[in-house]
Amino acid sequence: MPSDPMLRSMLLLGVLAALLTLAGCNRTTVEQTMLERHPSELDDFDFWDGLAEEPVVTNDDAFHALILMEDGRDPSADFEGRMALAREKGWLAGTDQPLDPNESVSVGVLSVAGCRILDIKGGLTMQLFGDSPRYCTRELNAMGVLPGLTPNEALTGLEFISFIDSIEERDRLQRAWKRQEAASASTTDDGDETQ
Amino acid sequence: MTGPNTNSATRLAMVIGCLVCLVTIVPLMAQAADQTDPSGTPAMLNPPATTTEFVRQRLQSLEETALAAVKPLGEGETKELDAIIMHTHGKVQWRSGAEADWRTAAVDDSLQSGAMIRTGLKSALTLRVGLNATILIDSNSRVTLPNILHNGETLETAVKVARGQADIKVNRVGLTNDFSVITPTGALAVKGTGFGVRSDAYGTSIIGSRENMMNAIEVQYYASKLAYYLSGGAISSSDQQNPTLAALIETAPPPSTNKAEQQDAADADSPAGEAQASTNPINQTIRIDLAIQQQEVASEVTTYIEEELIEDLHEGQDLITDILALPGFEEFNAIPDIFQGELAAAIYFDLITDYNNPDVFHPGIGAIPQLFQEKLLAELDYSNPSAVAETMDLIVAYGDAQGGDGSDDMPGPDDLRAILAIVDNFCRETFAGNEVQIQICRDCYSQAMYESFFDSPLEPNSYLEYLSENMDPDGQYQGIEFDGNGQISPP
Repeated sequence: MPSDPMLRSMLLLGVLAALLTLAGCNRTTVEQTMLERHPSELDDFDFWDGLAEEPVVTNDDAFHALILMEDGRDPSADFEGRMALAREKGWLAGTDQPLDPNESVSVGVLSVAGCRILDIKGGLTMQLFGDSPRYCTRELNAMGVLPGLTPNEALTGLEFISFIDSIEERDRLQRAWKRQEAASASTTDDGDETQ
Repeated sequence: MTGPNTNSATRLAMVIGCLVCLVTIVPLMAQAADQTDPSGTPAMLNPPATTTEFVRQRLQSLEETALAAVKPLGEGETKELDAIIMHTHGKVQWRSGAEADWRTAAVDDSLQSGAMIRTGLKSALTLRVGLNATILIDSNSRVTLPNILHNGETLETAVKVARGQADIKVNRVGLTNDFSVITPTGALAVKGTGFGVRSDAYGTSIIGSRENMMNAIEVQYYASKLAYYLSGGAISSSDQQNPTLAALIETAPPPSTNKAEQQDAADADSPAGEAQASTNPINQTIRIDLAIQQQEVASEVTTYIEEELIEDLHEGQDLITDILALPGFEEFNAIPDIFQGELAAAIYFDLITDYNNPDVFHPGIGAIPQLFQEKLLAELDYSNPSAVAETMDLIVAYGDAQGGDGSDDMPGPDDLRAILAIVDNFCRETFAGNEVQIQICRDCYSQAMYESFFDSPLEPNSYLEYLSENMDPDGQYQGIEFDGNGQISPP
């Protein structure tokens, strides 16, 4: 038995640190997701209104919302179906699987989905190693889509809806830029032909 | 030395002469080419004006009406105003209050104070609120209209943005504006003319408003209403009453025009012309001069998005290529294709008033030109019987050329188009440059035709049947039968 008070204090601190670390590694889970309360494959107002009140957004709800935004409807019957769809779209790149549907979604997972939806190429690292939660979060931080958030954070319902709104607005803007570029390119071509 | 100078002067004179000839003759040739195609069929004189251009001119002509509609009420007198839905995109719902059922939003829906609105993903709603504001509610938003009130000399409007984004444009219409935007983190008093407000998890932010887009939506909306939304003695092409129109005229004058803006500028210099918020406690939390801030954020974003959306709005409503689709000719366009030839023939035979003409079994009485003249006088204060007679002569000449004098060819829709092109040319030449009067002129002709030939929609009168009998040399032509339910049976 260590009798030295100094040694005892260090042991106590070590145990506390281990407990904090273990607790910190666990993500928040909820008993029932919003989707379980408002099951729908369509863009459902009640789902979004309920989500806005949620203290934390789960994986199941988040992927349902992202699929709604991307495709207009979510044909998946369950979380596995949504995961399959997300995998197909490349939204799970760099994410440890399987995910728990009732667990809080991480900003990193959302960032990868955001990068894919917005077709963000990123910097050298992303281009060499592909999308990852860490670098996609940084990209979206820089673009103002995810203001000041880190990859492991969870989001409240309202924060998540703000994220969805930002993605949608950025998508509109990018499409407008593309149209403008196409228009100016055709104008330039016309000018060249005239000359 | 004088020789070369003289030659140069002569050549210069010749060049100028040629240029003058070209300048004079080419437009005349072009005009002649416009009026008839190689087959001799009358064509439209000029490309029809765009709907947008027509609306612009129409709005100008409604300036005085717009200002007159916004009169201050007596002291202590209040009046509830409405909001009218002008444009919806995607999934949008509204309800009249917290306990009411949600319903899908549609253009012309009228919302009262207390109405709640919600928009889905990739959706939007545009509202004309009260007498002086237009609001564009963006996707995934939750907005309430707690207060739309005309109180004495003040227009009190409150918009609650619980979540999402709303772009707001407030016109100065000569009354005091008390326009507030309430968000979960505070209330804003509007002092300027337009801004966007976003309320999300990170608080309330002020952004630049998509004013051009709102203007485009207003123009599109009023364009769709112009058949009805005519005032000051102008006519309507339809007797149909639009119940929401009454509410629209009552609550929402046309968008501000030049004269209104001039008055606004004058008002802005006086304390009464500025936004007043002291009477409303919700405005006392945060007060921001939004007119200053609106320039700061996201101007690039809004510009690009505006351009995209405005293009979408205008898509498909530019040039009208079919004369039957021209504003004012709706009565003709409503006639089924199979009947349009018979109608063209009847218009022709109505003009053949010569009882000694052996080719015409039943001569007409000239009902359409007479009514046309009467309507032109009543609606446009225009009276020139000889010009109208010349136009009718062109129709007769066209009919003669197409076999009206005994040929066996049956008339078709293209003959009706040709006749309408003659009328359209008359209207364009007579009221050149004024799209509003041109439409009213076309409308006069449509009404004259309708009153001459129909008892009610798709119910021909006996005069039309009488004239139709000319299409058969034996006078036995029965014409197309209507069963009264909009169905027809070919002869």
